Amino acid sequence: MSIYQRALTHGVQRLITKPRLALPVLITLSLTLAAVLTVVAMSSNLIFKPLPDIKDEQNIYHVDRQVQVSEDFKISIINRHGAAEFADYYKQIGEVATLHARANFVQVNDQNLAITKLTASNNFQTVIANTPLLIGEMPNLSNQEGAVWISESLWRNAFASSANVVGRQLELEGRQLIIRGVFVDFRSFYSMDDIVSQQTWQFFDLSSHLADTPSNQFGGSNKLFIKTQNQVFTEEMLTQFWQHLFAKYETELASYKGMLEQMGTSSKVELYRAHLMKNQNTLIIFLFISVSALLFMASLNLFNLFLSHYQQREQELATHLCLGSPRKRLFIIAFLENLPLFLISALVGLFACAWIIRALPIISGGNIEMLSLVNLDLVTVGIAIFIVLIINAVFSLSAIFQCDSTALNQHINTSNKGVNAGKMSPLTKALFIAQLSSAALIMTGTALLAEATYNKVNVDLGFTPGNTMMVKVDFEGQGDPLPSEEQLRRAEEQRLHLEILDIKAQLSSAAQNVQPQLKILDSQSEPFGSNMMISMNFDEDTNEQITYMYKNIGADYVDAFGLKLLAGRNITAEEQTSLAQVAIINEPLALQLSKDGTIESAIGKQIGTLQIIGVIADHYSLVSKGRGYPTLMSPIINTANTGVFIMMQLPEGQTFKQSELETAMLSAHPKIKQLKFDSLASIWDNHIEQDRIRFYFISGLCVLTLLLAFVGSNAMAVGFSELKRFELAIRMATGATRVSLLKHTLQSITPLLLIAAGIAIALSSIGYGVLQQNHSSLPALSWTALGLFGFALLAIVLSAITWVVWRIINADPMRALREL
Amino acid sequence: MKTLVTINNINKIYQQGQVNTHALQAVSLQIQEGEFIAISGPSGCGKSTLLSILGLLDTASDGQYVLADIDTKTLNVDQRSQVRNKHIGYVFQSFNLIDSLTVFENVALPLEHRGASKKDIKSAVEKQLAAVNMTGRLDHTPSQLSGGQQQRVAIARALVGEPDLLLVDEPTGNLDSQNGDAVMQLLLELNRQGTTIIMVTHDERYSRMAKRQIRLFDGKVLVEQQEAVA
Repeated sequence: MSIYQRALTHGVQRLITKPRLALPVLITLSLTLAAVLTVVAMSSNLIFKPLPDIKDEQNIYHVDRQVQVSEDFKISIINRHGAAEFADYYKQIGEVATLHARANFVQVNDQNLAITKLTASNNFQTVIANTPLLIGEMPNLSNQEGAVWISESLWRNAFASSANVVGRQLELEGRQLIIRGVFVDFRSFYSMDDIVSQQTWQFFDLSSHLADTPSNQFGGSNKLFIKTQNQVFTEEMLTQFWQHLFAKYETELASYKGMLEQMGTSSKVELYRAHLMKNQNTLIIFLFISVSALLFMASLNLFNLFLSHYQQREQELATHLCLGSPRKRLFIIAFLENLPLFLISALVGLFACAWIIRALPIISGGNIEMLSLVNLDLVTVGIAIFIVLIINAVFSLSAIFQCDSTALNQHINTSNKGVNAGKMSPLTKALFIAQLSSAALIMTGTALLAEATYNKVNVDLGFTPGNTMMVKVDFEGQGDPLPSEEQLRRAEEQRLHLEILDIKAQLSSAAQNVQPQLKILDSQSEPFGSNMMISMNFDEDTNEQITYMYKNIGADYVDAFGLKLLAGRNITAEEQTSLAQVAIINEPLALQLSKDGTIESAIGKQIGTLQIIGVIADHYSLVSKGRGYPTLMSPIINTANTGVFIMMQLPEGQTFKQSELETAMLSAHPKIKQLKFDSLASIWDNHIEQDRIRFYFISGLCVLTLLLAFVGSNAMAVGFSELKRFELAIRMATGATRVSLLKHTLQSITPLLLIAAGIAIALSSIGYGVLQQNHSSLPALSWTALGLFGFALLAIVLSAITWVVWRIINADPMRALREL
Repeated sequence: MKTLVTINNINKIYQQGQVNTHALQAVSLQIQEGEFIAISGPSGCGKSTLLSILGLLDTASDGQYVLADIDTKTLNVDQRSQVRNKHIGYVFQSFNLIDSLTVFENVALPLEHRGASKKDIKSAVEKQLAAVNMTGRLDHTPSQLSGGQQQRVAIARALVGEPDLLLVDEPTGNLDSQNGDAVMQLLLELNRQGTTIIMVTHDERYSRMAKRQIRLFDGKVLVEQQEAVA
C-alpha cells in the first residue's frame, strides 16, 4: 500500500476511530453545507436556469400600470379593455397576451377538486407558454366559448388519464364546461393564491375587448405580457401608451385621469422571470450572505478542531519531515486523510439539502415563488464538492505549515528533558478571536433584525379583531351595472340593498341554526380593510381632491371591533336600515377636512352626498401599515366594487364549524353561487406571514450562531486542554483536586477569552456600522442588544470550555504521565 | 578518507525574552567517512543541540555546516528535508515511531518519501529489519514492541535509506543494560561495515566504545580524544 493509499485508508478508519473529530465535522459541516447548498440550488434554478415552460423568456416582458393607493399599497389599473388597447397600439412591436390565475374548485363526478383556474387570452399558449397540448385541440375563436382545457395532473387525477376526456364536462363556478383538450402542467406563472398542478384553462379573445366601454375601476388582476422580436420594451413605452389611451378616451376617462394623477401612477416593465421572482433576488442574496457567514463561522470552528487534532500529531508530522518528507507530500497525506470525512459531510449535506428543498414550500409557507422549479442539480452537487475540497485544502495546508522547522526540533528531540509548557499557537488564538467576532457580528445583526421583525409581527392594531369570520357571498345578478340616470340608479340601489339584506338575513339565520352562539354583524367591512374601495372627492373648503378608503359598515362596527369614537356620534340602526346618507370618518381624514386643525370641525361636513357625523381613532390596516390612511365608513352599500360580505363573530375560544356553515348557507337562498370563508385571524396571519417567517429564520440563525460558537469553543477548549494535559497530570500527581485543576485551567484561558470578547464586540459593532451604512433597511445598532447577546455569547463559550475541561480532567489525565 | 562533515565556528543562541542562552559557542569539527564519534558532557552542555544542527533539525545562529559537500546554510525547508532523506539517518532517544503504522511501514517511510518503487522498498526494509533481527515483527505496531525492539526498529528506519551519516541520540537512554549493550554492539557492527556514526550519550561506558570522543561543556568543545575501540 502506498503512503497515499494508506492516508486514504487511515482517513476512512478515522471516521470510526476518532468520533470526537469526525462527528463535530460531520454535523457542523453537513448542516451548514445543507443551508448553503439550498440557497445555491435556489439561485441556480431560480436565477440562472431557463424557465422550463416559457418560450423565449428573454423577449417576454410583463407590463403593468399601477396606482399608488398608499405608501405601502399599489394596485394595477390594467383591465381587459386596457390590455386590448395595448395589444392594438403595439401590434407592430410584438404579440400581447394576458393571464389571470386564482385558486378555485372544480366538480367532476361529484368530486370537488382544488385547482388553479387560469384565464388567458387565446394566444397565450402559442406566444408565452411552452406546455404542449397532449390531447384535443388548441383554443381558437370557434371552440373556446363554454369550453375548458385541463392540465395533465387534473386529467390524471380526475379522469384517470382517459383518452376519451375530450368532450366530457366538468363544473366550474356553477357552470358546466366542455373539455376541449389537455395541456402539460404549467408552473412558471404568478398567482396570489397557492399554485397547484391541477389546472383549468379558459381562453378569451383579447381583441374583442376593444369594444368595451373604458372602465374607471382599479384593481385589474390580469397579468399583461408583450413578446417582442428582440426589442427591449421600456417603461417609457408603456407610459406613452397610457398617454395615448387617455387622449383617445378624453371624455370618458376625464375624472378617472384626474383621480389617478392625484394619487400618482407608475409604469412597471420587467422581464418575465423578474416578474415571477418579485423581490426574491434580494431574499436570495440575503439568504446567501447569511448562510455564507454561517459557513465561514463553521469553517473557523472546524479549523480550530483540525489545528487541535494536528497539534496532537505534531510529533508524527515532525518524524515524517525528519525522515525527508517534503511538506507538499505531508499536505497531500493530510488532504487524503481528511478527504473521506469531507466527502461524507458533502454527501450528508446534499442529502439534507434535498430534504430542505422538499420542505421549502412548507418552511416558506408559500412566500417564496416558483419553489417547484428548485431541485438538486449538478451545479449544486459540483459546488458542494468544490466547497469541501477547498476547505480541506486550506485546513490541510494550514495544519501542515503549523508544524514548521522550529516545531520539528521541539517535538522530535525532547530527549526526556521534560515537557514543553502547553501554549496556544498565534493562529489558534487568531482563529478564536475571528470566531467570536463573526459570531458577535452575526448575533448582533440577527438579534436586531429579529427584534425589528418581532415588532412588526406584534404590532398594536388599534382595534380588536375578535373571533371574527368574514364570508364573501357571490350571488346571481351581483355586479350588474347600475342605471346611469340618478333616480333609476337610486331605486336600483335601494332594491339591491333590500335584496342583499334579504340574502344576508336568510344566510345569517341558516348560520345561526348551525351555531346559535354566532353573532351576525350588520357591517360588511372589517378594520383590516380587505374588502374596501378607494374613492376620491373634491373638498370645497380645502380646495383639494381627497382620496380615501371607503368601507360599508353598520351601526355595530365601532363596538364589534373595539374602535374608539373620538368625536361626534356613531351611525344608528335606523340610519343603517334607511340607507341614510351619513358617514363616520377616521382621524386622518378628519384632520384633512378640518378647517381649524381640530377633528371636531369635520363633523357636519359633506363628502359627496354623505354627511360626516362622527370621527373614530386611526388604526392599522392592510393598505397602510404606518396608519394615517384617510377612511370613510357609511351604511351605503356599493356591491359592484366591494362585494357582499357577512361578518360573524363567536366568543373567544369557540370554533367556527366552517363546513357545516357553508353547507347550510349555500342552500339558504336560491341565488347563492359561492361562499368564501376567511377569518380575521387568518387574514392577519397571511399578512404577517413573511415577517413571521423572517422572524423564525432570523431567530434560527441566532440559535445556530450560538450553537456554532459552542461547538467552536468546544474545539478550542479541546486543543487547549490537550496542550495542558501534561501540566494537568503533573498538578494532579502533586495533589491538585479536580476543582482546583478546573479553576486553574479556566484562569489561564480567561485573559484570552476576555481579550477575544472585547475585540469581537468592537469588530462586530464596527462591522455592523459598515453594514448599516450600506443597507439602510437594517435597524439601528442597539448597545443594549449587543451587550446582552455578547454576554450570552460569552456565557455559551465559557460553559463550552468548562464542559470540555471538566471532561478531560475526569478522563484520567494521569495517562499523560504514564505515556511519557 | 574523505571528509563527510565540516562545521566551522558554529554558534547557537536561544533567545527567550531578554535572556540569551549560548547553547553552542564557536564549535568546529571535521568528521571523516567511517568514523564513530561519541559526544558526551553534562546535562545542558549542548550535546543534543549539536546533534540537532548536524541532523538539520535545527539551524545554527551562525557558522558554517557542510555535509557531503553541501553547504547547508542556503537550503530551504524542503531542500533540508531532501538532504536529511538522502544523507542522514537519525535515531531518536524516544524512538519516534509512528503508532498508527506497522513496523514495516515505519521502516519504509524514508524510502517512500524518496519515491522508491514498492519492490525496492520491500527488499530494503526486509534486509534492514533482518540486520536488526526484527524480521518476525513486520506487522506489529510500535506499541506491541518492547523498548529494545522499538530502538532496533528505529535504527533500521534510520539505516534503510543507506545514509552517509547516522546520528544517534542517547541510544541506550530508554533501555536496560542488556538491551543497551545489544544496541551498542549493533552500532559498532554498522560502523565496522563503514557507516559514519555520531552518537550523543551521557554514559561513559558507551562513550569509550567510540573511536573518537568529544566532550562538551557549556557549549564548547572541552576535550577531544581518539581511542581504540574496546
